[in-house]
Amino acid sequence: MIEDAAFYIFAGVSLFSAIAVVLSKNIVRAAVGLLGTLGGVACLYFLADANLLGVIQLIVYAGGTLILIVFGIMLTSQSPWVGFLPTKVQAIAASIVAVILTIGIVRLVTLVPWAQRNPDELSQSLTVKSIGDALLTTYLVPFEVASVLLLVVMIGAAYLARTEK
Amino acid sequence: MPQSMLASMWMPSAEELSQLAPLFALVATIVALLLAAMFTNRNRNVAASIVTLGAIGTGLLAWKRLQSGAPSWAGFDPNGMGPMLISDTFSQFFIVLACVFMLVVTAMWWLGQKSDLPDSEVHRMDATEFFVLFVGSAFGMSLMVSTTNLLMIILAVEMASLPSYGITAFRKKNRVAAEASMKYVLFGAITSAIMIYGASLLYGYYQTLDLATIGMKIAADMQAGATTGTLFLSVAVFAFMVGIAFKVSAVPFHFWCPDVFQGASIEVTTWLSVASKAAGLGLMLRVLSVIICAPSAFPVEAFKYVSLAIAIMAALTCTVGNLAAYRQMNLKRLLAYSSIAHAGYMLMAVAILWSPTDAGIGAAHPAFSAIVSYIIVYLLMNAGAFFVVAMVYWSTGSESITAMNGLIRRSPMLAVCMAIILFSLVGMPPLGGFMAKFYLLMAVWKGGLYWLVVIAVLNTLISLYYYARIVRAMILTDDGLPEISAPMSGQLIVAMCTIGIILTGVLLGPMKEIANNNASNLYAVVKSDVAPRTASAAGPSAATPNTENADTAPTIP
Amino acid sequence: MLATIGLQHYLILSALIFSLGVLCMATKRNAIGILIGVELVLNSANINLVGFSKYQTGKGDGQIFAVFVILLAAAEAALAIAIFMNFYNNVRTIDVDRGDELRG
Repeated sequence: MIEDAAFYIFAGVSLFSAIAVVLSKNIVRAAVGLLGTLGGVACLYFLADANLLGVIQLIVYAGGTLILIVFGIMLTSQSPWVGFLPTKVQAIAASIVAVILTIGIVRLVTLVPWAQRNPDELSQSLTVKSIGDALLTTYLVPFEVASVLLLVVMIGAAYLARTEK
Repeated sequence: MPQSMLASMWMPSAEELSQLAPLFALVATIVALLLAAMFTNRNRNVAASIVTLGAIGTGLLAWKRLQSGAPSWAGFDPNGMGPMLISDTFSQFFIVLACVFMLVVTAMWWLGQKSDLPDSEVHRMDATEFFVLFVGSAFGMSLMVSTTNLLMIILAVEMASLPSYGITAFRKKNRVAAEASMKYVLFGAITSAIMIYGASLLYGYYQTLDLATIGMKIAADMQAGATTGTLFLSVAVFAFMVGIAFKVSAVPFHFWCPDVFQGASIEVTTWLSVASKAAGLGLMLRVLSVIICAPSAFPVEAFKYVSLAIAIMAALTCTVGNLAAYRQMNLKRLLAYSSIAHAGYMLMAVAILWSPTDAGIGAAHPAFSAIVSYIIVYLLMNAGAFFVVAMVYWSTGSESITAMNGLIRRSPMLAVCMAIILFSLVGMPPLGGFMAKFYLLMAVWKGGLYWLVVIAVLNTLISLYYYARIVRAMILTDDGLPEISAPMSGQLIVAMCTIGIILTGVLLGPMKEIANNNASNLYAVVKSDVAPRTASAAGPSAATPNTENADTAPTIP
Repeated sequence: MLATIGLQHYLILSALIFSLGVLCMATKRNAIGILIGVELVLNSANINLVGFSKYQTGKGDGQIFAVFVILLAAAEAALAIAIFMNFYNNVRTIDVDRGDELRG
């Protein structure tokens, strides 16, 4: 029961933060909203037995990527109050599309007869150790490819962000 | 304790490692580039030489595999959860193609640094970074055609895309390049995010990341008469395809293409025009053929809609490409729209994958050989056309169509080659472009999509106009521009492409044979005539031994 | 609706965040705003993956997939922001509408 309540609280936090991201007229506030979503989602990961993922979400996503985005905002906006409002027509059209999208996906995922399983039994194997094992066996190739990807991206980003002599 | 851990650790076998030699060679090239930059004070000629050697080495390794008729192989499957990487003639063919094209682009880079245009600064200063990104995207594109795992596909697409964004922005002081790369990265990020969402839905419904297992489960569902998942499946596959359609620049995911082609430097444009599209098409064919499993055995209803969507997309892609090319004055932009149109023709062949063939189980679907032959000719045509545009640009500093005026007098050799290339792009017999298009449309016709063939023929007529406009500028308009000082080696490459185009148009037999050979022994097809293995719904099937070939790959029960 | 938390709760939350992400990408005129929308969509995919991992498969592969998605998001953001800064250095803004050199 307490877990159910926790789910609704964290889901509510991430959802309201996401709405704040969309509605905010200021890019800095949008970034803060994103922080709320990332944090709420990380708590949901903890609830769903994805402890490692929750930690990674907080350290890498909230602590790394988001900081990067905030730096990006600081370096590219002349003033902290850069407005970026769409026109009314655009906003309404986009909202209608988003509502249709939401209803469509929600109907889609609720109509599917998902197999009923006992989550307590299933989550036995969701330990950090099993994930570490899988990363070095089944997922060895993606792991290595990801390292090459990061190397190449690092060089590209460093080149682009470097000032010219 | 550590000793026992090491002993129990899973290690890839020598066979697995040797199958991946071409991919290793590409990664080694990246490492060598970085090390060489450290020891030679970022010497640009050393960097370009390393890339040349790396491309030749990788190409030879893949070529050896292709020649030995290597059977399809799937590996890196320690826990029986489906192979991470596969290798068959189709994937090796694409790697060879990528290496040949890497050589063409490196040659263009080498010649381009001699011109005294402002962007040749880039060549002098930062060759190492440029080539690391360039080889990185080649690595990603090679991965794209050698995997059937959802996670690997996404990583491969990102591996191909992210460095491409980087090299598009490479001329840092150029406003147009900066704008093109910003549009490219935003569009790419949006489509790949939707693709990942689609992949997450597919994973959840079928509880596996292996596409072959997914295909098997779909077929089993269909046999059992279950239809509840059909809509879900269509939406998930469609969302997943968005990311691939972006790489192919299929309408409506094509907006980046003209901007990026115009904004990027000409080497990058040449690279993206062929490599990105070829890899995207290879991946699309692979994904669909693996999911569909054995088309002749179980026509899966859900794919009727996916295939219809691809057919409509193909029709739109070539029509939009050809119509938009009409009013373009910038040569790179015009060729960008032309490449969109050609991607549309190639997508038509993807759309017929769903249709049953009389080829029988064990043989490749005709769509594969049609696309293989089209891509070979397309590579020759684009390499030649962009090389001519590059040489005109290096000596005039203009990318406008007016820079071609009177080319027949300024450089007769280039003008004649360019005219042949352009007529081949239209699809004039007896050139390679005609034969490739003919095979492709024959396959589409046999696949039963007659209306698509009609659209393709109409589009060919439309495209005649804007290709002819360039020819007219070259031959009929002459406003006394000075002669072109084209480098000898550049002219040689253009001439070789032109001869290749003529040969592929004349020597039909060998061409057809090459295409068929490179589309045989497919992983997806081979697995459907081997012993069945039932996939367990939950829990890793740890009992499955680690095998070196596709014999135990999943199949329809 | 307020039943015991199950897979569908995760999927519905994910669908909502996905739509908000798409809305964000469609309405923001600032490149970083669009990037934030992309991050929302990636998070929604991760919620799906974690939910499936817990309620359907019971295997770690959904979570591993999510780890890679986080990695890709970081790599993409790093490169994207370098490119935005490069654009900013040339044009002094990152409003997408100001990118109007390339048309037609």
